[in-house]
Amino acid sequence: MTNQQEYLYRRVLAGWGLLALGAVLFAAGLILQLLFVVPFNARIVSGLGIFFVVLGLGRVMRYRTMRSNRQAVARLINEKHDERNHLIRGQAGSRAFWVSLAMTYAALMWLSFASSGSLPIATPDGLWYYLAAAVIVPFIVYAGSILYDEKYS
Amino acid sequence: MKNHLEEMRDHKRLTQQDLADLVNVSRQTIISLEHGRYNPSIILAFRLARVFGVAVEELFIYSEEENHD
Repeated sequence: MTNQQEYLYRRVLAGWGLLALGAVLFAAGLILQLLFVVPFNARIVSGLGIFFVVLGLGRVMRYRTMRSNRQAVARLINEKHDERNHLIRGQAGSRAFWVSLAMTYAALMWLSFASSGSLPIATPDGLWYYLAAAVIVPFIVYAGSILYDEKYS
Repeated sequence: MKNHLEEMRDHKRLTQQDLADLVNVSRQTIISLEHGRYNPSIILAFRLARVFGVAVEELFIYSEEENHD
């Protein structure tokens, strides 16, 4: 098996894995919803299953259609190992990491001061929005950084 | 870093994608190199020089002023 075939084989296999995981989660969600009383909405599990099925199906279709096009596979592998891409992603990851660290540190400081009465105690809703932002903002920084560097570097 | 990549590529009648395929990088990397926006690794510099059959110094122009900290 050549490197290209092995690369494709592994990608397709990962796609099938995601598809299987999605199917299992979808079925588990349905079973939980219909047969058991659970303290959460079982549709979350089914929804996650559908997400994985779509992701897996996309991967399987994308990489299976590439099997007959050796040049496309070679370019895909080149893209993956491209040193400039690695640099851009590394820098984006670093920026996102520092933003994430700063946001987590700010939350820690707030809670510390709040416990001593210097600042108001965070409400559960406020904390939820802040934690959601702590997930989304670093991702935006990561994606934005990649887009910027792809264009200007 | 300035370079003669575009002239040499044109001279060899290669497209950016052809050159990218020859040195195993993306076309975007070749574009960035040609515009002087990206400095290649030593390995990529040697690969490119080998494609054109020249020394690395003939392909890339190192300038002390441009690269001082």
